[in-house]
Amino acid sequence: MQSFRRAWAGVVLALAMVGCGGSSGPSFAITALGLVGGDLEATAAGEITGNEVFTIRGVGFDPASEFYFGATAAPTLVFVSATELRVTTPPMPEGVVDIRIVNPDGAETTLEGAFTFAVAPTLAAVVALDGPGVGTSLALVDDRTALELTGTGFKTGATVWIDGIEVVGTFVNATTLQCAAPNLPTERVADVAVRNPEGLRATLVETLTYTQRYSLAPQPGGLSEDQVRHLLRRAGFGASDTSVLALRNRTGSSIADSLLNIRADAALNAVESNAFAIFEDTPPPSAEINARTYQEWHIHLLRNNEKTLQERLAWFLHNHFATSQTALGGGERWWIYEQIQLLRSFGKPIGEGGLDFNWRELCIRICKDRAMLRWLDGINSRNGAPNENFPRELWELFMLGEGRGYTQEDIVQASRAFTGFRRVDVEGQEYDTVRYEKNGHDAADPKTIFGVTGNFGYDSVSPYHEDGAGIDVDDRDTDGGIVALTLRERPVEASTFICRKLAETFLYDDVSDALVEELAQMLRDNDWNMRPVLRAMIGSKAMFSAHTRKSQIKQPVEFVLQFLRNTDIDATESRIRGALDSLQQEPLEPPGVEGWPRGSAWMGGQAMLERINFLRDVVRDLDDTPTQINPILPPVGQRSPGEIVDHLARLIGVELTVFARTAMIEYVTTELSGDVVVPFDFDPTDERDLRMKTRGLLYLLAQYHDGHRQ
Amino acid sequence: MTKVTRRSILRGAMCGAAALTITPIRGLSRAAMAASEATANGKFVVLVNLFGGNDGLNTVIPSHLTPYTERRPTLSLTEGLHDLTGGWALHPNLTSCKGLWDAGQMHVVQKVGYPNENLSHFTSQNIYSYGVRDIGTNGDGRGWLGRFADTYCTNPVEPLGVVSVGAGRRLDFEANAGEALVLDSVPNFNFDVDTDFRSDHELRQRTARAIVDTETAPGSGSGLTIFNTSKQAHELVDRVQAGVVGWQDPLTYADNTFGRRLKEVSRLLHARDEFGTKVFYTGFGGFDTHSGQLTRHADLMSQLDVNLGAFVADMQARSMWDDCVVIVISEFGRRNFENGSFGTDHGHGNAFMVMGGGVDGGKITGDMNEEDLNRNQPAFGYDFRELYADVIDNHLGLASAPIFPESYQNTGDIRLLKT
Repeated sequence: MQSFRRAWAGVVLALAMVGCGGSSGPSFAITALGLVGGDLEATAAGEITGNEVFTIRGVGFDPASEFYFGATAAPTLVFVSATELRVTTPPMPEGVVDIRIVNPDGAETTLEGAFTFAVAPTLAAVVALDGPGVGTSLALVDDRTALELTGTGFKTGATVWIDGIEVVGTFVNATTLQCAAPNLPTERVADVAVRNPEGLRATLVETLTYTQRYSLAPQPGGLSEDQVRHLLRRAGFGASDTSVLALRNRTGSSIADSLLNIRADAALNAVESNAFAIFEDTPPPSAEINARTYQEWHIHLLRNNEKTLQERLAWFLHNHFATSQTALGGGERWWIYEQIQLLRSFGKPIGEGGLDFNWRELCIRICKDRAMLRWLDGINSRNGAPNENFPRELWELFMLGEGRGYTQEDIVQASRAFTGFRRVDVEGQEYDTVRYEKNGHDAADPKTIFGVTGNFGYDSVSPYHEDGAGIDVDDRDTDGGIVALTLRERPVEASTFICRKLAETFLYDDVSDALVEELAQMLRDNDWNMRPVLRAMIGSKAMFSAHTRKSQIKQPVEFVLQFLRNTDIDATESRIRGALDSLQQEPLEPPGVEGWPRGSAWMGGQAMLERINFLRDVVRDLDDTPTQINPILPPVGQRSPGEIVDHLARLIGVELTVFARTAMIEYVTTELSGDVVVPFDFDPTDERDLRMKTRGLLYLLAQYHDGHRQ
Repeated sequence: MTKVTRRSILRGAMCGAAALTITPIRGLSRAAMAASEATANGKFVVLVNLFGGNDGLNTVIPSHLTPYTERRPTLSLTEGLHDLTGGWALHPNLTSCKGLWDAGQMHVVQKVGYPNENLSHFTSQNIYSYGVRDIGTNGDGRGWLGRFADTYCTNPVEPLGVVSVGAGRRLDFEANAGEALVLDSVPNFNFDVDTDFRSDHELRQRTARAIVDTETAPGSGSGLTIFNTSKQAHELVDRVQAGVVGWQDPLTYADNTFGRRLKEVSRLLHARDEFGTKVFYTGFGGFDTHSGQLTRHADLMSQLDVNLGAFVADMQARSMWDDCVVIVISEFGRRNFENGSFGTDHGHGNAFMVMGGGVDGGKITGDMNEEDLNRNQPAFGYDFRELYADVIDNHLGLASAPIFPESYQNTGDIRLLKT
């Protein structure tokens, strides 16, 4: 705001000679006028307060020429040459005046009504009237966003200039103008100016942010390496240089299709089989497996599965349906394995036992998931003694959002519907299971939920739930399950709730209602299949907008896995689990049903120290496997300190300031002698030098503040 | 003892300019000056949050009201209770608390909450964290402790003014200026060394430190939080570690979550005068007892009581108990009646316990009658902010008004401290 006069302050008005008013004296006329270095066309106008400098061009000027605005002489006049004068304006009342030049010999020329004194407008704010950025200074690069400009002194016929482009303004009153923002080819922060008809203007410098963040339209063209890295941080857990370069130049939508293809192949089979081998001789179901083993199984998949979106989605869902194995007894613990497998199957094809991204089906399954039934007291909810815990969280945290479309009485009635499961000990079987029993279910009276009365229960008991034993299908729940009822009766709440969470996860935090609704509409239109929603987000302009990129604070799992995947450094599952334990994000053990916190909650002095100490642990391990050093470094011959710093920064996805880059190069080329920093002759062919400084650079680069953002 | 230490550091800083060039010393001297402003009265608060919604009715028990046993056929507690006054009694496992009551150092406030109570853990926790009931309209994006720190710990910014011990970087700490220390374990609040390259590791540390010291913080948003946190880690390690040298473990804290956390509070208080911490935020979870409540809750009460007992003795031994107020809170209480799973579902107003050497104890503010217990949950009685405000105003000696800008019900009934 303080700079609204900046553009004007630099104005030099050029008055150029175009013809002769008479043969004896100087003549002058006003032709094209321009801002020096500016983009607005100026006219001969000045402020009533005067004291502005104008340049006059013409011929036959004399050092003793006099210049008048109306009857008032210019307070100062500088003779530059016979063709150029500079004059300052006197204070004058508002109005149009003649301008006149008089030479010492008495010759004079007058231009009638050629100069206007006026009150300059001021511009206070520019806000969007439509679009998802309504009420803020945000315009879409490709959407002709409607804007409202507020200020003072606007006049009928005023024009608006945005990023140097004149747009038609609608005069509302002296303090309000409206216009449509011109489309721009790229994101930028644009200047906005208002120009009154006589030529006085006000400018707000760098005030209107052009963004493409809200657009779900496909990102045009092939992706750069940097864009691929960004995408794989968000839709995966980072990726090796090889994987990144293989995807470079492909379009976002094409990569989205590849990511969304979660069909089994040799690589997926191998990684699942390797993960399963962690259970050794006692695979689940079993009562023999301890909690850490399940975590390491999960970590192996998160670290190694090249179907990176499969694990990213499973992690999203694990956080969404947050269930902790700490609530499970020894004989029950395999249920968490079963739940994670359910979540991992979300995007698999139906033919491979998957759910093909069907949100409704996943919600139905989770209601009957053994670990969930234990976690939220479903197995304790009995006919005549229902438990409210699960239905409350089902709506509040899983499907609708707090207070969105349900009442306490709905919860009470739904708790009656969610009755019938109980834990059973099967004779001769050391691990526990859960069964549905018809007489445990409250089918006595119809239940009224969302104002609909019917015989509601669990949605049909699916074979998934039963491990080969007889299925006790309840035919009394003639009106179906709560999940289907919820999606039918509360489609808007249900679709916007999950789509907002998806968009906040994959895109950015302050996601607008409009974008959420656009995604939610897709989900509803596709009968709750989430694939189109994911595809749209992954390949969208919004995904690659400056607003999305590096806008999130990495969670510990993201920080740890991205570092390992980006550098392709090996770390044992046990090492990773230990790090995640210290960082308080152990897989399979969310702190509560609300899942892990997001964003800044992950920061804090101790959290940062634990991240740094994890890096210390990992880089220290590099000594045990020196062959790991070479693949991380640039090729031999490109290993100057600067080249190594730049290469590692690129791998890790860290952007350094000039200062930080210089400091890191200095670190490579110095050492401590006692307490004094002295030059160090870094030799890139010396194994010890390379190992020592590579360790140090990885440690410094990954802890650099930009490295905690994604 | 600690006061002498502080003076000697200040003196050292003033006499020896050379010493100022060594980072840890500089950090300490600056902090010590800040502390001298902030800890004018040396008093502090330990906030203990029982995460998940503690069952207040089985903590401070209305044994005189018949609906209590009628509505809780399997969960009501009738034996081994510690009688208080007016028919109220403490859970059998709260023996240390009973000792404090008898010593006149524990005050109970009944039906604490906020108007139009919400049954969601997360909404309710947010209301407590922001210290604002109508967050959408009246919130300013800051937590109540953030406003506290912005108001009372900013000249200069003192990251140790309010500290989270094991409770994470909760919304309570969201502030405009500075970044509160968020810590789990003081021994682990340190840099691990690359022992293969000790000297080079020291150079790495100096490089990292030079970067955070020299670069400009991003203007706002996630980048700013990360930057500040990163800077804090590099700046505070030496100071925190130096401050706790000489702390003696009383060996009385239990080896469980709450015990470990209170032990860290104790350790940080060893440097009370250097750090000047006004509020320690800690607590532990597991209180969402929808099922099998009897034994679970008994274990939780035991964990609470044993460690509070250890903390009180620790504070008394170090002559800090008179300067301490412990407030035991929870995001809500539970229903008056048990559910079918031998548990209780989410409820409203809750009994909060306030204890300390200067607390006007052996008293209960607020009461209940049978009508209260015949409802689903006791009605809202006292706004938690009135309770906090009494402690901020009358114990810490700081004005609470800027901390709770949204107007709240102020009955004037809550007087927790001896006059």
